[in-house]
Amino acid sequence: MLRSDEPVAVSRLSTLTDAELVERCRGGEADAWNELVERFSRYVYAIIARGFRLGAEDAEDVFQEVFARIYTHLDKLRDESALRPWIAQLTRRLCLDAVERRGREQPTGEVQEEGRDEVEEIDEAFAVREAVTTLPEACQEILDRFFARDQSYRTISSELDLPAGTVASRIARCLRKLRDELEGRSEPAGGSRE
Amino acid sequence: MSREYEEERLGTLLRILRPAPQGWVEAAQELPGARRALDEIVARAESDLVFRSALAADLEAALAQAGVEPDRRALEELRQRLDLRDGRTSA
Amino acid sequence: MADERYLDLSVTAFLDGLATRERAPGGGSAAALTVAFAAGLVAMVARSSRVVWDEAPGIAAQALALQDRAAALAGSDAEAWDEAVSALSAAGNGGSAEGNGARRDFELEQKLARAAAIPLEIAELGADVALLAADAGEYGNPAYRADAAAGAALAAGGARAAAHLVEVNLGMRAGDERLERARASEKAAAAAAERLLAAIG
Repeated sequence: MLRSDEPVAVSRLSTLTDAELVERCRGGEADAWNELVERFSRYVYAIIARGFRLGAEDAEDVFQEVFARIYTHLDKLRDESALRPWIAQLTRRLCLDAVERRGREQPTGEVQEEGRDEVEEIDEAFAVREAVTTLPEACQEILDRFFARDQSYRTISSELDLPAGTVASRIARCLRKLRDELEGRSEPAGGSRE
Repeated sequence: MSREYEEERLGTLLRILRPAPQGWVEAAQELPGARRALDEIVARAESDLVFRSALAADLEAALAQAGVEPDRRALEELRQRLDLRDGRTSA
Repeated sequence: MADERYLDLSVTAFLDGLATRERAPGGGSAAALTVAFAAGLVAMVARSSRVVWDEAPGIAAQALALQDRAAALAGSDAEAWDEAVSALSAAGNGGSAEGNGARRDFELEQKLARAAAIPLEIAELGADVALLAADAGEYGNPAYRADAAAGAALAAGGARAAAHLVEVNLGMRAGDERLERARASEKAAAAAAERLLAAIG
């Protein structure tokens, strides 16, 4: 569904499946590349910061290297719909390289296990975020501001021009909508971008 | 998930995917353009010995003059591609 | 004690640490954990109110998110405060050497700004938890109204303590936007707590 406050081309990109997005990137479409980065930047960042807890400099290097390799090797991806697991694997590998380079004392095997458990939860978070994009834009905005960006009720009220006393209630209702959406998806006929 | 905790679990999961620093995202989005700029510099350095010498003498200044942001990654990549390590240039 | 992970300590160990003559943990950490306690009470009330209040599950989710944020600030505050005090002390003792005085002043300013930002965030979290507690008291299970009121009172106390830290300990002057925000949070938290406590009283 197109959002009325966005240019048509950009709105269409956000509704593309991962496979469709990969095709457009391979065709050299700059907007498609921007959408790919936008779609996966939080995911990559979460693996780096939460899964492996890299320091700031290593984290930025790995982040940029991940997207550099995606850009360079996108042509070699055989199954376009497997974009996300491919990105996860790439990110994990580069994180492990960074950890080894920094010469940490933990045995390599231990670090790998820690990273893998966290990535499973991050995958679950990504599926939830995909479901969020199907909600009304007001819900997408308020859920992101409160949970992902740690904004206060006062800031949300002021920036979204909402009565301060209604913010918590709105967030609760949007969470209910999100739960309903996810429960609907667990039905066999549920659709997703992948 | 047990029925009692759906919203709570969703809240926890929504907190996991936080925005990456905006500068990082923009740099990643600009990657294709940055790549093209570096490719052009390498091509020019391979055909223009005066330009190549200028790069070897002061890579940052030469890049800046060519309109390319001389950030650490760009400098490293160019040094590698042009074999400019140790201040020497390959023939 | 500034380097220890406070959340890993037993309550006894944390209380012991609070009472020592060391600077950290101090008022900021105590305020942060007070707000975290308050958020926990709100989550409890919401979880106990599912039958009577449709929004209870979503309110519980928010309370837990606020608790998580407040608890994390207990350690951050101690660290930031320690750095700021050390930097102030060094600036007072050593003066500014020729050539790097401006840089030292800039670094000091950065450390003071960070030390102010954390109690400001604690104050704002306190305000949010107090508002949530007021809702929980009003719409939640009446059997838990007193717990909601306790949560509101604690959150307001945490917000007030943190706002005081922003104002007094860091030398904020009237008109500073951070001070105005801290005071607004203190006021909002107090009003929410008063609303609920008055209704019960």
